[in-house]
Amino acid sequence: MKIIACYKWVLDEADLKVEAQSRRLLTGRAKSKISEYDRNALECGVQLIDESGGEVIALTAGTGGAKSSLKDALSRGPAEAVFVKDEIMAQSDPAVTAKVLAAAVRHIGEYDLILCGEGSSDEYSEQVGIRLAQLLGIPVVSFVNKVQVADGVLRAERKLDGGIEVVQVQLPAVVTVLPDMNTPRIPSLKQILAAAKKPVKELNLAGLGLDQAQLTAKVRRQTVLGTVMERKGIRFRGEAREVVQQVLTVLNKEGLC
Amino acid sequence: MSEIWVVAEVPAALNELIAHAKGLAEGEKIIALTFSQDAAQAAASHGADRVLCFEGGQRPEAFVDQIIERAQAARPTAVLWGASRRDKEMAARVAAALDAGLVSECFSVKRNGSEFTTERCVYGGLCVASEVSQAPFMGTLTPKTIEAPAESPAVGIEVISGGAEKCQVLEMRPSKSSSNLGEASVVVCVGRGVSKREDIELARRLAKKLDGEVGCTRPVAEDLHWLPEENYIGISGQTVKPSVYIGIGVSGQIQHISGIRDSKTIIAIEQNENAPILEAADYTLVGDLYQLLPTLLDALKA
Ligand SMILES: Cc1cc2nc3c(=O)[nH]c(=O)nc-3n(C[C@H](O)[C@H](O)[C@H](O)COP(=O)(O)OP(=O)(O)OC[C@H]3O[C@@H](n4cnc5c(N)ncnc54)[C@H](O)[C@@H]3O)c2cc1C
Ligand SMILES: Nc1ncnc2c1ncn2[C@@H]1O[C@H](COP(=O)(O)O)[C@@H](O)[C@H]1O
Repeated sequence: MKIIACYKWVLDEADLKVEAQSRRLLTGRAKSKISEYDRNALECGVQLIDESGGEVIALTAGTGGAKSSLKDALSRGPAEAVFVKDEIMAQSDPAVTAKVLAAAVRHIGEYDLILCGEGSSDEYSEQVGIRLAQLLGIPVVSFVNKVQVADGVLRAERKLDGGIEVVQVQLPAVVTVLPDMNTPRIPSLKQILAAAKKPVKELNLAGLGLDQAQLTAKVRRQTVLGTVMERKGIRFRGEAREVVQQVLTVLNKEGLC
Repeated sequence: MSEIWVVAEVPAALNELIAHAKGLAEGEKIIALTFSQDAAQAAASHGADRVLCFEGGQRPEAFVDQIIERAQAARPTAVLWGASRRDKEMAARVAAALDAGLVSECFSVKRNGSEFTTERCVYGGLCVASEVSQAPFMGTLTPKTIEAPAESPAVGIEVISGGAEKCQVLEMRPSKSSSNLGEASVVVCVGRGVSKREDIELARRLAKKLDGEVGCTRPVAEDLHWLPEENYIGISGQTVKPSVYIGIGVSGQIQHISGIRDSKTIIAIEQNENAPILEAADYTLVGDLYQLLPTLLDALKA
């Protein structure tokens, strides 16, 4: 089986700060990471391959900075990585990203299954995987936390607002993965070293035949402003009894005791 | 382009979308696309000008191809979608097929002629992005961001049958639990700092004493399965707005904080003074929850 697992290289939201006065987002100190749920998508692909053989190709589209992601992704089990590199990705919206990924998938050629995260850690649009399926003209099974593949048929459980839906579909298909699908592995030193030797294919947008009109975002971003929350930030420290006494005063003021 | 469409699987969402559509319409008719008689009737009696009811498919997604065809023909000025997972899948597929933009989970939409300005949360809720789209506009809209319109004389419902797709639904297991967290005046939230499933009982006792509800963080529901999915709070779960929120062993990552931002008072029990919850809280009880919580329960005679 040939599986394509899509991941996005994102700023680690835990490193982001907001400047209180201007509400400006400060990204200066932020490190990047493989988007949280894309690790579940990669892990899902690798587990399916472990069961039934084949290989996983990791696919990402990003600016030059995303190059540092490749070793990280490859240390998680894929045999190969495909990196679509273009500065335009910094202004991409889900419509553009999906078109870029669709073009890259067509370039890769044959595949049985495409895995995406349910949503990316930074944008959380929950769109790219679903759009990708539509553009490729193949079925999508979204919001999945269990999968099984046998004889070219995928059976999956979708977790929906009203309950669990079990569906079956002929491959190829796109599956978008929820975080409770699996626990992503932490790569060992050996896997990290081995990753450096795995093949990486770099593509650019011109090479994929995408023109300016296709690469223009439909949604134009005007501002990104931090949500500031005015909180007291009081800390009660010390003996448990004293600490509790202080919080009782607070609860009492709220009329709760 | 003289229509605004509203599409959602559940009636409550549909009615809110109609209210949004009324605010946006500049002479356009409001057309509701529905997938059950209940939803169709709700829309018909809450201000939609025309109601289509897609029936006979195994699920709403079975009508995506038909919706795409109709959208290509009618070219609506805007399509407002609900924000259930089914709604999100349908919206993204229709947007991709039409090569249209789609803004996910907008909590506000404004219009100026052919320009639509939306606001949504990004970076786990740390920031709000204000974005501009040109008509045809598409967005999924966060529930409870507007009052549903009052009941009005019902319009007729056009039934459309058929529906076909490549996915075959084998089974649907409805979830039984529901959550009152959104309305609770006190929320006690269990985080991963609570080390054993049995210890949720401590949180329950506290909640009971304070007349509140127990919620949790996403990993407690999704990784540990200690509490039902409906109980987790945050950007991808429930939004709560109690007078008092008490987090127990909750680190306070931004995705969680986004769901508790409207709480009047935030209290945390946390041992790590570097955890982000300390900045998001009004009061933090710094220390081991296994010492602090039993002492608090004793003091409250809970
Ligand atoms: C796209 C995306 C969406 C997400 N959506 C959500 C969401 O909607 N809701 C949500 O909750 N999360 C969400 N998350 C996950 C979120 O980033 C955090 O991982 C999660 O909230 C952490 O849960 P926690 O605080 O229970 O666990 P942890 O981060 O592990 O925190 C446990 C805390 O308990 C403290 N602790 C441990 N032992 C004790 C003790 N004995 N006494 C006192 N304190 C103790 C620790 O110091 C620590 O701070 C999302 C993540 C992503 C990427
Ligand atoms: N630039 C990208 N490169 C590769 N995959 C991506 C990219 N952006 C989004 N995806 C995939 O699409 C999923 C959903 O992203 P989003 O629609 O932004 O929430 C992610 O979890 C990834 O699997």
